[in-house]
Amino acid sequence: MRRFRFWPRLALLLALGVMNGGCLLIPEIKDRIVELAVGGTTVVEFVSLGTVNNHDETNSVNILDGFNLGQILADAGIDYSRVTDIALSGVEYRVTVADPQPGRQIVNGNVTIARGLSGELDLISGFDAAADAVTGWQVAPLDPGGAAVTEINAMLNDIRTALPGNPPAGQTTLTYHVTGQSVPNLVPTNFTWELKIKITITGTVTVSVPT
Amino acid sequence: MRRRLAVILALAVLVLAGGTRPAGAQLSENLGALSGDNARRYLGPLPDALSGTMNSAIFTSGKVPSMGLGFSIGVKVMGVRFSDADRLFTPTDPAGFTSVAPIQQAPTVVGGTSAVSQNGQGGAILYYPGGFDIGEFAFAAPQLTIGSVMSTRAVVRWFGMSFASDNFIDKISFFGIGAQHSISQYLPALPADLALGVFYQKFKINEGLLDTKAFHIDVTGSRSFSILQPYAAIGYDSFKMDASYEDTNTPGVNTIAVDFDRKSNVHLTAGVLANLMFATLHAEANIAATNGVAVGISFGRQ
Repeated sequence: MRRFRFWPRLALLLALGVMNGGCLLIPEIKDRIVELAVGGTTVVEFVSLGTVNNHDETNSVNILDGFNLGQILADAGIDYSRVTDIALSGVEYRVTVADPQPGRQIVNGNVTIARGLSGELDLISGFDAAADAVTGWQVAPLDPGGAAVTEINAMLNDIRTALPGNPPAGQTTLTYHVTGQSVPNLVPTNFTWELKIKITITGTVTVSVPT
Repeated sequence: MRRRLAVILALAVLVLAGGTRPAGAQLSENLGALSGDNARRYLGPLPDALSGTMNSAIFTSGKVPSMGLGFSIGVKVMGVRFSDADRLFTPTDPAGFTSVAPIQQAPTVVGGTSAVSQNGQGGAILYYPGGFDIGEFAFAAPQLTIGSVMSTRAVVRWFGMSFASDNFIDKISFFGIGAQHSISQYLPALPADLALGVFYQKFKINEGLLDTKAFHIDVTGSRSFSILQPYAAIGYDSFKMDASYEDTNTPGVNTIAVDFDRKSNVHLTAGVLANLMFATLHAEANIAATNGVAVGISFGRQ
Protein backbone atom coordinates (compact mmCIF):
# COMPACT_ATOMS: atom_id res chain seq x y z
CA MET A 1 0.00 0.00 0.00
CA ARG A 2 2.82 2.35 0.84
CA ARG A 3 4.39 1.54 -2.50
CA PHE A 4 1.11 2.34 -4.27
CA ARG A 5 1.07 5.84 -2.79
CA PHE A 6 4.60 6.40 -4.00
CA TRP A 7 3.79 6.04 -7.68
CA PRO A 8 1.21 8.83 -7.92
CA ARG A 9 3.81 11.15 -6.44
CA LEU A 10 6.33 10.00 -8.98
CA ALA A 11 3.78 10.51 -11.72
CA LEU A 12 3.06 14.00 -10.43
CA LEU A 13 6.76 14.80 -10.43
CA LEU A 14 7.09 13.52 -13.97
CA ALA A 15 4.05 15.48 -15.10
CA LEU A 16 5.49 18.63 -13.56
CA GLY A 17 8.73 17.94 -15.36
CA VAL A 18 6.91 17.62 -18.63
CA MET A 19 4.86 20.73 -17.94
CA ASN A 20 8.05 22.58 -17.16
CA GLY A 21 9.15 21.75 -20.67
CA GLY A 22 5.66 22.29 -21.98
CA CYS A 23 6.78 24.64 -24.67
CA LEU A 24 8.99 21.82 -25.87
CA LEU A 25 6.03 19.71 -26.77
CA ILE A 26 3.60 22.42 -27.80
CA PRO A 27 5.75 24.80 -29.80
CA GLU A 28 4.61 28.36 -30.10
CA ILE A 29 4.59 29.61 -33.68
CA LYS A 30 6.46 32.87 -34.05
CA ASP A 31 7.39 34.99 -37.03
CA ARG A 32 11.07 35.43 -37.70
CA ILE A 33 12.76 37.78 -40.14
CA VAL A 34 15.53 35.60 -41.47
CA GLU A 35 18.40 36.96 -43.51
CA LEU A 36 19.22 34.63 -46.34
CA ALA A 37 22.45 34.47 -48.27
CA VAL A 38 22.48 33.28 -51.85
CA GLY A 39 25.13 33.19 -54.50
CA GLY A 40 25.22 34.25 -58.11
CA THR A 41 27.73 34.46 -60.92
CA THR A 42 28.37 36.28 -64.14
CA VAL A 43 30.80 35.07 -66.78
CA VAL A 44 32.71 37.11 -69.36
CA GLU A 45 34.38 35.43 -72.35
CA PHE A 46 37.65 36.57 -73.92
CA VAL A 47 39.06 35.39 -77.23
CA SER A 48 42.79 35.88 -77.23
CA LEU A 49 43.89 35.82 -80.83
CA GLY A 50 47.03 36.98 -82.60
CA THR A 51 48.96 38.81 -79.89
CA VAL A 52 52.69 38.11 -79.73
CA ASN A 53 54.98 38.33 -76.70
CA ASN A 54 53.08 40.99 -74.78
CA HIS A 55 49.53 40.00 -74.18
CA ASP A 56 47.35 43.11 -74.13
CA GLU A 57 43.65 43.13 -74.78
CA THR A 58 40.68 45.22 -73.79
CA ASN A 59 37.07 44.18 -73.71
CA SER A 60 33.91 45.99 -72.63
CA VAL A 61 30.93 44.05 -71.37
CA ASN A 62 27.58 44.95 -69.93
CA ILE A 63 27.45 42.90 -66.77
CA LEU A 64 23.69 42.52 -67.12
CA ASP A 65 24.20 40.41 -70.23
CA GLY A 66 25.16 37.50 -68.02
CA PHE A 67 23.73 38.42 -64.66
CA ASN A 68 20.03 38.47 -63.83
CA LEU A 69 19.74 39.63 -60.23
CA GLY A 70 15.97 39.72 -60.40
CA GLN A 71 15.86 36.04 -61.34
CA ILE A 72 18.31 35.06 -58.60
CA LEU A 73 16.17 36.86 -56.05
CA ALA A 74 12.98 35.35 -57.41
CA ASP A 75 14.47 31.85 -57.25
CA ALA A 76 15.43 32.44 -53.63
CA GLY A 77 12.04 33.90 -52.72
CA ILE A 78 13.55 37.27 -51.77
CA ASP A 79 11.61 40.39 -52.70
CA TYR A 80 13.89 42.97 -54.34
CA SER A 81 12.88 45.56 -51.78
CA ARG A 82 14.29 43.37 -49.01
CA VAL A 83 17.79 42.84 -50.39
CA THR A 84 20.22 43.99 -47.70
CA ASP A 85 23.55 43.73 -49.50
CA ILE A 86 25.24 42.47 -52.62
CA ALA A 87 28.97 42.06 -52.97
CA LEU A 88 31.73 40.33 -54.88
CA SER A 89 32.91 37.14 -53.20
CA GLY A 90 35.57 36.03 -55.66
CA VAL A 91 36.85 35.81 -59.21
CA GLU A 92 37.76 32.68 -61.14
CA TYR A 93 38.99 31.95 -64.64
CA ARG A 94 39.25 29.02 -67.01
CA VAL A 95 40.49 28.21 -70.49
CA THR A 96 37.64 26.98 -72.67
CA VAL A 97 39.48 26.61 -76.00
CA ALA A 98 43.12 25.58 -75.69
CA ASP A 99 45.93 27.24 -77.61
CA PRO A 100 47.37 24.75 -80.15
CA GLN A 101 50.86 25.93 -79.24
CA PRO A 102 52.26 23.54 -76.63
CA GLY A 103 53.48 25.33 -73.53
CA ARG A 104 51.40 28.43 -74.14
CA GLN A 105 50.95 30.40 -70.96
CA ILE A 106 50.33 33.91 -69.76
CA VAL A 107 52.91 34.99 -67.22
CA ASN A 108 52.63 37.79 -64.69
CA GLY A 109 49.16 38.64 -65.89
CA ASN A 110 47.08 41.53 -64.65
CA VAL A 111 43.44 42.44 -65.12
CA THR A 112 42.09 45.89 -64.51
CA ILE A 113 38.52 47.10 -64.75
CA ALA A 114 37.08 50.51 -65.38
CA ARG A 115 33.54 51.77 -65.01
CA GLY A 116 32.43 55.19 -66.12
CA LEU A 117 35.05 57.66 -64.99
CA SER A 118 36.67 55.38 -62.43
CA GLY A 119 39.86 54.94 -64.40
CA GLU A 120 41.63 51.57 -64.50
CA LEU A 121 41.53 49.74 -61.18
CA ASP A 122 43.53 46.60 -60.44
CA LEU A 123 41.30 43.55 -60.10
CA ILE A 124 43.74 40.64 -60.50
CA SER A 125 47.46 40.92 -60.09
CA GLY A 126 50.36 38.65 -60.93
CA PHE A 127 48.65 35.53 -62.16
CA ASP A 128 50.29 32.86 -64.27
CA ALA A 129 48.01 30.68 -66.33
CA ALA A 130 48.65 27.82 -68.73
CA ALA A 131 46.57 28.15 -71.88
CA ASP A 132 47.58 25.08 -73.87
CA ALA A 133 44.84 22.96 -72.35
CA VAL A 134 41.24 23.39 -71.33
CA THR A 135 41.00 23.94 -67.57
CA GLY A 136 38.37 23.97 -64.88
CA TRP A 137 37.63 27.11 -62.88
CA GLN A 138 40.69 28.38 -61.07
CA VAL A 139 40.85 31.00 -58.35
CA ALA A 140 42.17 34.36 -59.52
CA PRO A 141 44.34 36.25 -57.01
CA LEU A 142 42.53 39.51 -56.31
CA ASP A 143 44.65 42.61 -56.04
CA PRO A 144 45.20 43.33 -52.33
CA GLY A 145 44.29 46.97 -52.75
CA GLY A 146 40.67 46.05 -53.36
CA ALA A 147 39.84 49.20 -55.37
CA ALA A 148 38.35 47.24 -58.28
CA VAL A 149 36.29 45.13 -55.91
CA THR A 150 34.93 48.27 -54.29
CA GLU A 151 33.95 49.60 -57.74
CA ILE A 152 32.29 46.33 -58.69
CA ASN A 153 30.38 46.32 -55.41
CA ALA A 154 29.20 49.86 -56.15
CA MET A 155 28.01 48.67 -59.57
CA LEU A 156 26.18 45.71 -58.01
CA ASN A 157 24.41 48.01 -55.60
CA ASP A 158 23.45 50.29 -58.49
CA ILE A 159 21.81 47.24 -60.03
CA ARG A 160 20.08 46.47 -56.73
CA THR A 161 18.85 50.03 -56.33
CA ALA A 162 17.35 50.03 -59.82
CA LEU A 163 15.34 46.84 -59.29
CA PRO A 164 12.89 45.77 -60.59
CA GLY A 165 14.28 47.63 -63.59
CA ASN A 166 17.85 48.05 -64.78
CA PRO A 167 20.20 50.99 -64.32
CA PRO A 168 21.54 52.84 -67.40
CA ALA A 169 23.97 50.72 -69.40
CA GLY A 170 26.77 53.12 -68.55
CA GLN A 171 26.55 52.08 -64.92
CA THR A 172 26.75 48.38 -65.67
CA THR A 173 29.39 48.33 -68.39
CA LEU A 174 32.85 47.28 -67.31
CA THR A 175 35.96 47.62 -69.42
CA TYR A 176 38.43 44.86 -68.75
CA HIS A 177 42.08 45.36 -69.63
CA VAL A 178 44.19 42.23 -69.58
CA THR A 179 47.98 42.36 -69.82
CA GLY A 180 50.80 39.88 -69.38
CA GLN A 181 53.63 38.11 -71.11
CA SER A 182 52.63 35.48 -73.63
CA VAL A 183 55.12 32.62 -73.92
CA PRO A 184 56.56 31.04 -75.94
CA ASN A 185 57.67 34.21 -77.66
CA LEU A 186 57.11 35.01 -81.32
CA VAL A 187 54.15 32.66 -81.66
CA PRO A 188 50.71 34.35 -81.88
CA THR A 189 48.22 33.43 -79.17
CA ASN A 190 45.08 31.58 -80.06
CA PHE A 191 42.94 30.58 -77.11
CA THR A 192 39.65 31.45 -75.46
CA TRP A 193 39.14 31.95 -71.76
CA GLU A 194 36.44 33.07 -69.38
CA LEU A 195 36.35 35.17 -66.27
CA LYS A 196 33.72 34.44 -63.65
CA ILE A 197 32.66 36.96 -61.03
CA LYS A 198 31.09 35.34 -57.98
CA ILE A 199 28.55 37.34 -56.04
CA THR A 200 27.08 36.99 -52.57
CA ILE A 201 23.63 38.43 -51.88
CA THR A 202 21.68 38.85 -48.66
CA GLY A 203 18.01 39.59 -48.20
CA THR A 204 15.35 39.04 -45.61
CA VAL A 205 12.23 36.92 -45.62
CA THR A 206 9.60 36.50 -42.94
CA VAL A 207 9.01 32.93 -41.91
CA SER A 208 6.97 31.29 -39.20
CA VAL A 209 8.86 28.86 -37.00
CA PRO A 210 8.04 26.78 -33.93
CA THR A 211 9.90 27.87 -30.84
CA MET B 1 7.99 38.93 -48.58
CA ARG B 2 5.84 37.33 -45.99
CA ARG B 3 5.21 33.64 -45.83
CA ARG B 4 2.66 32.45 -43.38
CA LEU B 5 2.36 29.06 -41.85
CA ALA B 6 -0.22 27.45 -44.05
CA VAL B 7 -1.07 24.45 -41.96
CA ILE B 8 -0.40 23.65 -38.33
CA LEU B 9 -0.81 19.94 -38.28
CA ALA B 10 -2.68 18.57 -35.36
CA LEU B 11 -1.06 15.22 -35.78
CA ALA B 12 1.95 16.54 -37.44
CA VAL B 13 5.41 15.40 -37.94
CA LEU B 14 6.70 18.82 -37.12
CA VAL B 15 10.39 19.08 -36.84
CA LEU B 16 12.51 22.04 -37.59
CA ALA B 17 12.68 21.46 -41.28
CA GLY B 18 9.20 20.11 -41.34
CA GLY B 19 8.24 22.21 -38.37
CA THR B 20 6.73 24.82 -40.51
CA ARG B 21 6.32 24.80 -44.18
CA PRO B 22 7.91 28.17 -44.76
CA ALA B 23 10.93 27.55 -42.53
CA GLY B 24 11.59 24.33 -44.31
CA ALA B 25 11.07 26.08 -47.59
CA GLN B 26 13.75 28.62 -46.83
CA LEU B 27 16.07 25.94 -45.51
CA SER B 28 16.88 24.78 -49.01
CA GLU B 29 17.69 28.35 -50.04
CA ASN B 30 19.97 28.91 -47.09
CA LEU B 31 21.82 25.69 -47.85
CA GLY B 32 22.31 26.74 -51.46
CA ALA B 33 24.83 29.41 -50.50
CA LEU B 34 26.94 27.03 -48.43
CA SER B 35 29.69 24.65 -49.39
CA GLY B 36 29.26 21.03 -48.35
CA ASP B 37 31.47 21.38 -45.27
CA ASN B 38 29.67 24.48 -44.10
CA ALA B 39 26.24 22.99 -44.81
CA ARG B 40 27.23 20.09 -42.57
CA ARG B 41 28.06 22.54 -39.80
CA TYR B 42 24.98 24.68 -40.48
CA LEU B 43 22.73 21.64 -40.08
CA GLY B 44 24.90 20.27 -37.26
CA PRO B 45 22.31 20.51 -34.47
CA LEU B 46 19.73 18.52 -36.41
CA PRO B 47 21.02 14.93 -36.23
CA ASP B 48 21.15 14.84 -32.42
CA ALA B 49 17.79 16.57 -32.12
CA LEU B 50 16.15 14.27 -34.64
CA SER B 51 17.72 11.19 -33.09
CA GLY B 52 16.65 12.26 -29.61
CA THR B 53 13.06 12.80 -30.66
CA MET B 54 12.45 10.17 -33.33
CA ASN B 55 13.85 7.43 -31.11
CA SER B 56 11.69 8.33 -28.11
CA ALA B 57 8.26 7.26 -26.89
CA ILE B 58 8.13 4.19 -29.11
CA PHE B 59 7.74 1.50 -26.43
CA THR B 60 6.01 2.58 -23.25
CA SER B 61 5.40 -0.72 -21.55
CA GLY B 62 7.17 -4.01 -20.98
CA LYS B 63 3.89 -5.85 -20.87
CA VAL B 64 3.20 -7.72 -24.09
CA PRO B 65 0.26 -10.14 -24.00
CA SER B 66 1.06 -13.61 -25.23
CA MET B 67 -1.91 -13.80 -27.60
CA GLY B 68 -5.03 -11.90 -28.56
CA LEU B 69 -6.12 -9.35 -31.09
CA GLY B 70 -5.84 -5.77 -29.97
CA PHE B 71 -4.75 -2.48 -31.37
CA SER B 72 -4.31 1.07 -30.31
CA ILE B 73 -3.77 4.25 -32.21
CA GLY B 74 -2.45 7.47 -30.86
CA VAL B 75 -0.08 10.38 -31.13
CA LYS B 76 3.39 10.77 -29.66
CA VAL B 77 5.00 14.16 -29.19
CA MET B 78 8.69 14.38 -28.41
CA GLY B 79 10.71 17.51 -27.70
CA VAL B 80 14.26 18.57 -26.99
CA ARG B 81 15.87 21.90 -26.22
CA PHE B 82 18.90 23.27 -28.04
CA SER B 83 21.89 24.53 -26.11
CA ASP B 84 23.72 27.80 -26.78
CA ALA B 85 26.59 25.82 -28.25
CA ASP B 86 24.24 24.62 -30.99
CA ARG B 87 23.66 28.13 -32.32
CA LEU B 88 27.01 28.97 -33.92
CA PHE B 89 29.61 27.30 -36.07
CA THR B 90 33.02 28.29 -37.40
CA PRO B 91 32.92 28.16 -41.20
CA THR B 92 35.69 26.88 -43.42
CA ASP B 93 36.59 28.86 -46.50
CA PRO B 94 34.83 27.56 -49.60
CA ALA B 95 36.86 27.09 -52.77
CA GLY B 96 37.86 30.42 -54.26
CA PHE B 97 37.55 32.44 -51.08
CA THR B 98 40.31 33.20 -48.60
CA SER B 99 39.10 34.79 -45.41
CA VAL B 100 41.10 37.40 -43.55
CA ALA B 101 41.04 38.09 -39.82
CA PRO B 102 38.88 38.43 -37.85
CA ILE B 103 37.30 35.08 -38.62
CA GLN B 104 33.56 35.26 -37.94
CA GLN B 105 31.33 32.61 -36.45
CA ALA B 106 28.14 31.97 -38.38
CA PRO B 107 24.69 30.95 -37.17
CA THR B 108 23.55 27.36 -37.50
CA VAL B 109 20.08 26.47 -38.66
CA VAL B 110 18.80 27.08 -35.10
CA GLY B 111 20.96 30.17 -34.53
CA GLY B 112 20.37 33.88 -34.91
CA THR B 113 18.50 35.21 -37.92
CA SER B 114 21.09 37.69 -39.21
CA ALA B 115 23.49 36.75 -41.98
CA VAL B 116 27.17 37.11 -41.13
CA SER B 117 29.74 38.66 -43.45
CA GLN B 118 33.29 37.41 -43.65
CA ASN B 119 35.94 39.63 -45.21
CA GLY B 120 38.21 37.95 -47.70
CA GLN B 121 41.43 38.54 -49.58
CA GLY B 122 41.40 41.46 -51.99
CA GLY B 123 38.27 43.04 -50.52
CA ALA B 124 35.99 40.12 -51.30
CA ILE B 125 33.07 39.45 -48.96
CA LEU B 126 31.23 36.23 -48.32
CA TYR B 127 27.91 36.06 -46.52
CA TYR B 128 26.78 33.12 -44.42
CA PRO B 129 22.98 32.83 -44.04
CA GLY B 130 21.10 33.41 -40.83
CA GLY B 131 19.37 30.66 -38.90
CA PHE B 132 15.78 30.40 -37.74
CA ASP B 133 16.36 31.28 -34.06
CA ILE B 134 14.79 28.16 -32.64
CA GLY B 135 15.22 27.14 -29.04
CA GLU B 136 13.26 23.93 -29.00
CA PHE B 137 12.57 21.12 -31.36
CA ALA B 138 9.41 19.03 -31.36
CA PHE B 139 8.57 15.97 -33.36
CA ALA B 140 5.16 14.32 -33.37
CA ALA B 141 3.99 11.17 -35.01
CA PRO B 142 0.89 9.01 -35.11
CA GLN B 143 1.58 5.51 -33.88
CA LEU B 144 -0.36 2.29 -34.39
CA THR B 145 0.23 -0.76 -32.22
CA ILE B 146 -1.13 -4.16 -33.20
CA GLY B 147 -0.81 -7.38 -31.27
CA SER B 148 -0.22 -9.89 -30.04
CA VAL B 149 0.99 -13.02 -31.71
CA MET B 150 3.44 -15.25 -29.89
CA SER B 151 4.00 -12.53 -27.31
CA THR B 152 4.98 -10.09 -30.01
CA ARG B 153 3.29 -6.92 -31.14
CA ALA B 154 3.95 -4.70 -34.11
CA VAL B 155 4.36 -0.94 -33.96
CA VAL B 156 4.02 1.39 -36.94
CA ARG B 157 4.52 5.13 -37.25
CA TRP B 158 3.81 7.03 -40.40
CA PHE B 159 3.14 10.43 -41.80
CA GLY B 160 3.14 11.93 -45.25
CA MET B 161 2.22 15.24 -46.77
CA SER B 162 2.69 16.77 -50.18
CA PHE B 163 3.00 20.47 -50.83
CA ALA B 164 2.04 20.61 -54.47
CA SER B 165 1.92 24.37 -54.66
CA ASP B 166 5.17 24.97 -52.84
CA ASN B 167 8.28 25.42 -54.90
CA PHE B 168 10.71 24.37 -52.25
CA ILE B 169 9.23 21.55 -50.20
CA ASP B 170 7.38 19.09 -52.32
CA LYS B 171 6.89 16.37 -49.81
CA ILE B 172 7.44 15.22 -46.25
CA SER B 173 7.36 11.51 -45.63
CA PHE B 174 7.91 9.58 -42.44
CA PHE B 175 7.60 5.88 -41.81
CA GLY B 176 8.65 3.65 -38.96
CA ILE B 177 8.11 -0.01 -38.24
CA GLY B 178 9.16 -2.32 -35.46
CA ALA B 179 8.14 -4.94 -32.96
CA GLN B 180 8.27 -5.69 -29.27
CA HIS B 181 8.61 -9.18 -27.88
CA SER B 182 7.99 -10.26 -24.30
CA ILE B 183 11.05 -11.43 -22.39
CA SER B 184 9.31 -11.85 -19.08
CA GLN B 185 7.40 -14.87 -20.43
CA TYR B 186 10.71 -16.71 -20.31
CA LEU B 187 11.49 -15.42 -16.81
CA PRO B 188 8.33 -15.93 -14.77
CA ALA B 189 10.07 -15.09 -11.53
CA LEU B 190 10.66 -11.51 -12.58
CA PRO B 191 8.72 -8.98 -10.48
CA ALA B 192 8.14 -6.77 -13.54
CA ASP B 193 7.23 -7.13 -17.19
CA LEU B 194 10.12 -7.01 -19.57
CA ALA B 195 10.18 -6.76 -23.37
CA LEU B 196 12.71 -6.33 -26.13
CA GLY B 197 11.83 -3.83 -28.84
CA VAL B 198 13.37 -2.85 -32.15
CA PHE B 199 12.29 0.00 -34.38
CA TYR B 200 13.41 1.43 -37.73
CA GLN B 201 12.36 4.84 -39.07
CA LYS B 202 12.85 6.87 -42.23
CA PHE B 203 12.12 10.56 -42.47
CA LYS B 204 12.49 12.47 -45.73
CA ILE B 205 11.96 15.99 -46.92
CA ASN B 206 11.78 16.49 -50.67
CA GLU B 207 13.18 13.08 -51.52
CA GLY B 208 16.68 14.07 -50.61
CA LEU B 209 16.89 17.58 -49.19
CA LEU B 210 17.03 15.80 -45.85
CA ASP B 211 17.06 12.03 -45.69
CA THR B 212 17.28 10.39 -42.29
CA LYS B 213 17.27 6.84 -41.04
CA ALA B 214 16.98 5.89 -37.38
CA PHE B 215 17.33 2.55 -35.65
CA HIS B 216 16.39 1.97 -32.03
CA ILE B 217 16.59 -1.10 -29.84
CA ASP B 218 15.72 -1.27 -26.17
CA VAL B 219 14.64 -3.39 -23.27
CA THR B 220 11.62 -1.92 -21.51
CA GLY B 221 10.56 -2.89 -18.03
CA SER B 222 7.28 -1.94 -16.41
CA ARG B 223 4.99 -2.86 -13.57
CA SER B 224 1.32 -2.10 -13.10
CA PHE B 225 -0.09 -0.42 -10.00
CA SER B 226 -3.79 0.02 -10.51
CA ILE B 227 -4.18 2.43 -13.40
CA LEU B 228 -0.57 3.52 -13.33
CA GLN B 229 2.27 1.70 -14.96
CA PRO B 230 5.74 3.16 -14.45
CA TYR B 231 8.28 2.04 -16.99
CA ALA B 232 11.95 2.36 -17.69
CA ALA B 233 14.09 1.36 -20.63
CA ILE B 234 17.69 1.05 -21.63
CA GLY B 235 18.37 1.17 -25.31
CA TYR B 236 20.68 1.99 -28.17
CA ASP B 237 20.09 4.52 -30.94
CA SER B 238 21.72 4.73 -34.33
CA PHE B 239 20.99 7.68 -36.58
CA LYS B 240 22.10 8.65 -40.09
CA MET B 241 21.29 11.86 -41.92
CA ASP B 242 22.15 12.98 -45.44
CA ALA B 243 21.32 16.20 -47.22
CA SER B 244 21.34 17.17 -50.86
CA TYR B 245 20.70 20.60 -52.31
CA GLU B 246 21.30 22.79 -55.31
CA ASP B 247 24.30 25.08 -55.29
CA THR B 248 22.89 28.55 -55.90
CA ASN B 249 26.23 29.61 -57.36
CA THR B 250 25.55 27.28 -60.27
CA PRO B 251 21.78 26.77 -60.33
CA GLY B 252 20.61 23.80 -62.31
CA VAL B 253 24.15 22.52 -62.65
CA ASN B 254 25.64 21.56 -59.34
CA THR B 255 23.98 19.50 -56.62
CA ILE B 256 25.83 19.29 -53.33
CA ALA B 257 25.48 16.11 -51.29
CA VAL B 258 26.30 16.24 -47.60
CA ASP B 259 26.95 12.96 -45.88
CA PHE B 260 26.71 13.19 -42.09
CA ASP B 261 28.51 10.73 -39.84
CA ARG B 262 26.35 8.02 -38.33
CA LYS B 263 25.57 8.79 -34.69
CA SER B 264 25.09 6.11 -32.08
CA ASN B 265 24.33 6.47 -28.41
CA VAL B 266 22.81 4.85 -25.35
CA HIS B 267 19.21 5.78 -24.73
CA LEU B 268 17.75 5.74 -21.20
CA THR B 269 14.06 6.29 -20.55
CA ALA B 270 11.91 6.70 -17.44
CA GLY B 271 8.21 7.29 -17.66
CA VAL B 272 4.77 6.51 -16.45
CA LEU B 273 1.73 5.21 -18.28
CA ALA B 274 -1.84 5.79 -17.12
CA ASN B 275 -4.52 3.39 -18.32
CA LEU B 276 -7.69 5.45 -18.19
CA MET B 277 -11.10 4.26 -19.25
CA PHE B 278 -11.15 6.09 -22.54
CA ALA B 279 -7.49 6.40 -23.36
CA THR B 280 -3.95 5.62 -22.39
CA LEU B 281 -1.65 8.49 -21.52
CA HIS B 282 2.05 8.46 -20.96
CA ALA B 283 4.85 10.87 -20.15
CA GLU B 284 8.55 10.17 -20.13
CA ALA B 285 11.99 11.67 -19.86
CA ASN B 286 14.84 10.58 -22.09
CA ILE B 287 18.59 10.71 -21.86
CA ALA B 288 19.76 10.18 -25.43
CA ALA B 289 21.61 12.00 -28.22
CA THR B 290 19.84 15.06 -26.88
CA ASN B 291 17.94 14.85 -23.63
CA GLY B 292 14.23 15.48 -23.90
CA VAL B 293 10.72 14.70 -22.83
CA ALA B 294 7.80 13.07 -24.56
CA VAL B 295 4.09 12.54 -24.04
CA GLY B 296 1.51 10.47 -25.82
CA ILE B 297 -2.12 9.57 -25.95
CA SER B 298 -3.59 6.48 -27.53
CA PHE B 299 -6.95 4.86 -27.89
CA GLY B 300 -7.77 1.17 -28.06
CA ARG B 301 -6.52 -1.95 -26.37
CA GLN B 302 -3.06 -3.35 -26.79
